[in-house]
Amino acid sequence: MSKIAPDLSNLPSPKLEKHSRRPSLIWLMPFLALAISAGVVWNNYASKGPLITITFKSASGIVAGTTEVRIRDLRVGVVEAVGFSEGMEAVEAQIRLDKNIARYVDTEAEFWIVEPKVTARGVSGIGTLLSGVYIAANWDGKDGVRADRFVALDVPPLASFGEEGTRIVLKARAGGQLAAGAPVLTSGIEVGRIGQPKLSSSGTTVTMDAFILKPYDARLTTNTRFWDASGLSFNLGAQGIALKVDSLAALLEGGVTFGTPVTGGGPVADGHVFDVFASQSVARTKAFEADASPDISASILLDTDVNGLGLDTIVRFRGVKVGGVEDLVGIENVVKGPVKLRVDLRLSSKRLGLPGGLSSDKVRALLDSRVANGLRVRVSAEGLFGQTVVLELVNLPSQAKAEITLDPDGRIMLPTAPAAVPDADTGVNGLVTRISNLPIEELMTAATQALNNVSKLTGTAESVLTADGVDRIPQTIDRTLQEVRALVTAIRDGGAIENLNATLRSADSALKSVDSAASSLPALANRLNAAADGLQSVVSGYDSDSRFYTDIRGVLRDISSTAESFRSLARSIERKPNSLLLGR
Amino acid sequence: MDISGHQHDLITARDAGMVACTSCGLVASPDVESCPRCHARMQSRIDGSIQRVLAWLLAGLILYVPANIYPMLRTTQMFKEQDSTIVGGVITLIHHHAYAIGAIIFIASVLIPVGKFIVIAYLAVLLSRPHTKDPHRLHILHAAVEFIGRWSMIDVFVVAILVALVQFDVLASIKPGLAAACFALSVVFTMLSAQAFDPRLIWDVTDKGTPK
Repeated sequence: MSKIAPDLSNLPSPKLEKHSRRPSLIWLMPFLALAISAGVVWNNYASKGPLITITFKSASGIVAGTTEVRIRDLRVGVVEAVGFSEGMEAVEAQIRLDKNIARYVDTEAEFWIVEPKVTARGVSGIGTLLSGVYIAANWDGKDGVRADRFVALDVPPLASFGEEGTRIVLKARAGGQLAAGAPVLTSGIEVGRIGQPKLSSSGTTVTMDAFILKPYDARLTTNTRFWDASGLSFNLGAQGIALKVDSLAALLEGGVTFGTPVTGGGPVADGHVFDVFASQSVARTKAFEADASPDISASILLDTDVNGLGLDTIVRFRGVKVGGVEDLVGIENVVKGPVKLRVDLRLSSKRLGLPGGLSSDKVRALLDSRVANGLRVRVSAEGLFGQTVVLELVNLPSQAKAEITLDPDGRIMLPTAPAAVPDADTGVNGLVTRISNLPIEELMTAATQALNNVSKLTGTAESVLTADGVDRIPQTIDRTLQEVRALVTAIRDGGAIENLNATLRSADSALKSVDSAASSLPALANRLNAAADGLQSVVSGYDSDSRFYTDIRGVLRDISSTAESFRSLARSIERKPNSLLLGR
Repeated sequence: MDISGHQHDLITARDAGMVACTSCGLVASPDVESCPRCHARMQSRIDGSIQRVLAWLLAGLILYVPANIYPMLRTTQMFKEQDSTIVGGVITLIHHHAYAIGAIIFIASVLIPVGKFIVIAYLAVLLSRPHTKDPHRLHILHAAVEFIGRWSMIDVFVVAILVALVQFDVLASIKPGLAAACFALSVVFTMLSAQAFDPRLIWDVTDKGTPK
């Protein structure tokens, strides 16, 4: 081909293929892409669980997209958004739950925030220091009524699902040191915990839920008594000082201990209400008085100031405790007058000798008749120094006539009698008098005398030993024996006769000295007796059980027997002077 | 035969009644099936080119949606998990004053793909009917799209490298998200779309009234 300038006009026309209008297979690709996208979206959507809303008081560290919801530390969801509820009263968190557990979320589900916490019992939630707070959840593995709106708990629940035990209600006097989460102890073992204490509407008592774990809840009976184990118990008594701490945790955050001092109680169901007593001794005392539980309410009005009257003040009737003070309320007199103190009492009908199970009208009628006979309530004092204020139900027939009134609230108001309380001055004076009346001087005199007698006794014993002749007796006897031995030798050696006279002479002199010694023996014995008598008088001043007395008695016996042997020695010497020589 | 009024006074192979080999450039008579020199398939115009372009484009476009909605990276850092989408990642980078990297990611992952979609769609729609645009400019546009399209893969590479490098268990670890696969597929599809485009179509429809 050597065409330089092609003849364009002769070129063959290209055969144009008919433009195909048929859709190409390539159009499957968008559908594939669509399928992929749809798959991705569906996969993502289908794996998403439901969205629930939890209301918190404050967000306290909840971060959208980060804060997790965990059950037993396993992630089951994540916070998607945090915002305010309507009216900005609370914080609402939208939480995306995992799909596989979502079906168990029912109305019983509980949520609360876990933050790092340092308590007396250890550090908890330390992982949240790094990861931030998380929302702990709690629900059982059963299907229930579905819910998607929840209110978070302020404090962790007492028991997580799966923890078995008994839920009880504790009622304590306000002002205790009990805090939520504080331990419940028995025999020093932590067996449960206390929920959030709630102040009653009257403000005098605090109720709280408590949870006792499974094996230990069997120890609960209706006779079980709870007492406050918070802090230290310090007891100064005749036995000395007793300091008791139940547990360090209880010392710091409070705690209650229970025990069952009385047997025979029935089993306890969930929700049983127990009183928390101030101390173990109170709890035990109350336990034994359980048969006479107070069932009558009555009130008195006091217009005098009474120091020491409080909620622990007891009511006595003829010396027997019949009830206690339930409440103290200051009320203003209707007619313009001073503020009076209304004291609400709880009395035991059994202790008052009333039949049990009476209606309040019947009780009132019975009390009315007693009041007519002079039954009054008065403030009194008891105790060693009269320092404990009690309320006394007394029969004072000499009092002016009075009757039971009903106050606007329908309380039975018992009439009162003038207080029989020594004022503070007489109390202190009484104390001083009592102390000064103690026989301290007599005691001192007796003690001095005893000491003197003891030293006298010691002197006597010495004088016995140093008395004339006594120390010489052994020497004399020794000498005599030597001479006897010499005599015997001489007899053996011959020439006995010459020596016999000498021997007899020296024996005679020995006898003489023995005689003079023996004559002093009765005097010695008498002196010993005198010493013993002196001791006897000292000893008789002591209690017959004291150790000193026993010791002294022993000494006396010894002295007597010593004196007796001196006497018998003297007698035998008088009878047979040669017995000293012959040994019989 | 009318001589085309091209400004450069060029005639196409088709104008000359010939067919050119796209592989070696040999011009042959239109009735040959394959190139006598390199045996490549000879077609005056790729059959159904526009259709293919549009199909691939649509596929890429569809996948671009989940690529932007779902997280590209899942970063676990000291117990905290964080998902970041493409745009979210760019915003995070800008917040950390990494403007340069932010700009690169933004250009590679957002500007280029979106620009590509627009350009390819524009070309495809334009060339499926008569137009009076300057074919030279259209060529430049097409060349640019073909050249620059692959740079969109930067984001996928970033994810791949990060996932491979950052694996320190609790301290920090990075996992690819759903969007990474979608985005990679989207880029691949748009590249295929650009490739399916037969640039010779640009010559055919200029001021001729009807495509031949």
